[in-house]
Amino acid sequence: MNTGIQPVKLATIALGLLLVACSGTPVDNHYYLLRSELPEQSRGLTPSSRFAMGGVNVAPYIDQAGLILEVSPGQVRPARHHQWAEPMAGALNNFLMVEVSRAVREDVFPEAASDAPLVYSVRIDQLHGTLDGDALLVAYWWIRGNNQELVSYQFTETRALARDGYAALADAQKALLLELARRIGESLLEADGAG
Amino acid sequence: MTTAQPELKQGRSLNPIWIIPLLALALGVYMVVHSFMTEGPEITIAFENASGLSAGKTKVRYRNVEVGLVTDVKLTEDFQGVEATVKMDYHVRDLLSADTRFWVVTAQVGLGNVSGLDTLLSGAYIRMSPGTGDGPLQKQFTALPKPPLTPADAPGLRLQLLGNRAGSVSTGDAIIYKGYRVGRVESAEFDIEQERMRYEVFIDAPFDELVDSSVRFWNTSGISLTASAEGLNVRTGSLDTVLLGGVAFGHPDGVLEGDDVEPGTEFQLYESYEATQQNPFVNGSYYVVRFTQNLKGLVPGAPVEYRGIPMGRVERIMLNELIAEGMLADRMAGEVTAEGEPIPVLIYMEPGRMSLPDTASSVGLLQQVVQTGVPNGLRATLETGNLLTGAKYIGLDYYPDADAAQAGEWGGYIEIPSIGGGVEQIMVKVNAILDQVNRAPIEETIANANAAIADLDEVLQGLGELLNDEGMQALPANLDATIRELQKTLEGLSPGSELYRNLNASMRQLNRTLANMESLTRTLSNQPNAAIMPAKLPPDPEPEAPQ
Repeated sequence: MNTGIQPVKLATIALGLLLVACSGTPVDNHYYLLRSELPEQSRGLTPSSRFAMGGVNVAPYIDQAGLILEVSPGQVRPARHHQWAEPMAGALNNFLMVEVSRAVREDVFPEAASDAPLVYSVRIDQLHGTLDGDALLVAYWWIRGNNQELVSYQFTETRALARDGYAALADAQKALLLELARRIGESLLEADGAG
Repeated sequence: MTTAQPELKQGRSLNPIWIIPLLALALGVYMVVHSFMTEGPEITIAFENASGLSAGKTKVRYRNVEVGLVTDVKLTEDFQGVEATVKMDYHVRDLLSADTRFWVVTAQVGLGNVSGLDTLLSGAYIRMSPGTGDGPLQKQFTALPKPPLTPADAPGLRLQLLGNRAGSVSTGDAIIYKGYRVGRVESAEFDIEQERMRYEVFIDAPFDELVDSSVRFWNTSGISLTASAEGLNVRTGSLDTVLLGGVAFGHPDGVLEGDDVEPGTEFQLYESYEATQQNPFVNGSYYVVRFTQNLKGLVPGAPVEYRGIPMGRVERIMLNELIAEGMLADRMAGEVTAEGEPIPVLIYMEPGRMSLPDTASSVGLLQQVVQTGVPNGLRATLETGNLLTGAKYIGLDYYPDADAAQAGEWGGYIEIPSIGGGVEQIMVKVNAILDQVNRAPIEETIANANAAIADLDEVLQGLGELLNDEGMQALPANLDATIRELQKTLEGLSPGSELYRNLNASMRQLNRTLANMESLTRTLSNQPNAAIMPAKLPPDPEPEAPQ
């Protein structure tokens, strides 16, 4: 008596499963790039003699691909189909370095590549959107001077979405980050003037 | 009627005519007696010559009052001088004592003084300087060849100064104390016995109170010019002392006041002020130290020190006394010890150098210290002061481990026991070490050392062969190449290297894969058939812009 599965039956089952698997609706993913505006022209970079960038620390829930939406107080949900194009930690680092440089009108380099006396560091504590159409950014930064003295600042702002959807949320978050970079630039200039 | 009868008296009466002769006789007797009683003494004064003397003319004066007259001038019996007979007034007879002095006053003109000009008109006269009046009337005197500079009864202090050479000090020179004239040199003569110049000086009162046993006298005549590392030092006295000479006195630096001095006390006359500083102490005492060591380099004047503090000097080596003590006799008799007869050395120690007063009482105190110190270990040692020149000195110190001894007496001086010291002790120790070396098994040690050296030679030979091996010689090059390779490898792993960047990118990709795996796991956990059946996940909630 033959109890084994016949090869024909096995091929039929596999074909059936394949058809079932391919029968789903195709997913439409969206990827967003966190980048500064393109510079006006190409030029050489000169490390600032006054300012340097220490580091950007990002809250772990932010450092993931999907854009974060707070669906209820204390409950967030990363989007599956709306994702950042690159890891947030590196993207935030590069974005803030470029925008702070633009704010102080000097090329701010990482601390390891600069001898500048004033070094700023940033922690992004919250960066997400809400169901009622706001983008939220909570951040802290501190400036360390020559004598290791520290000056700390806090940034907490929301910005309403210009339209519905994750693209508007990405734009709003980028606008908040631009405002944060501008504030950091002002505080650096102020610290340099005070010194 | 009665008739008066004459009363006849028998007897002889003196004729009044004799009254006058008797009165004249009595007057004559009175005059003779009075003349005898009030007649001044007749004295004789011996002079070297009769210059200025004239019988019946030359007067004797005291305080410019005539108190006598030369009545006769004649040669002495031996014709070596002149003897003048002087009739003195009666009322000065009490002044004619043994210390009464006479001298002829004539006109004198010199650098130091001008005197006796009145004798140019009145003629020479004899001046008397009365004595103290003690003792019987004296009638024989010897005149001074020169006028005394100080009256015999002048208050003050007369001292004797002894100088090594005549120098420029002479009679009449000033005695100076801190630039002020307080006395004079009365006489200067050469003492044949001591072979030194002897000066008699007189310090006027009240300046005589400045003189005590600690003062020093030095010659201030002329100009003293000394050159040293500190520059030129010029010392001069007053103008008259520069021109005429003089003697100054005072306490040397660091010398305390001494005892009062009696008239006639002898002091050393130093050549200069600096000389008083070199040896500023007067009081001291002699001691004897006998050594059995070699005394070469120990010369008179060598220092005697107590723990490095100068206390005195070596006077001399007492060879004559040693001979007198009978060393030669002992040697002749064969009684000399194995170490030989110790050689006595006379030393002179001054208590003033130990900040004690420079007095005789301090000398006694120092002697007492020595005599009580010797039983407690005070010993003298022969030390080498200069290894190049071999100059030696005598050191004093306490050695508690020294053999018991008492301060003895040798040649009339206190003897301080001696022990070997300084280089001598070192030499003794070196000799002891050499003795031990001599007793050591040198030959056996050398044999062992030779064997050890032979073994070492073999080891070195083997090591040489090993080093000459081609593989061993190539080892450094191989090691260097290995290190270079290691450096290259490490450079490839450095943060800026391509490998590091590739590794970093791979890690990011791995992280992303793990994240996707996490998402897949979560999906399968929520819907186990999601791998086969399409997952029906809710769509992403859409954020809505506020109206």
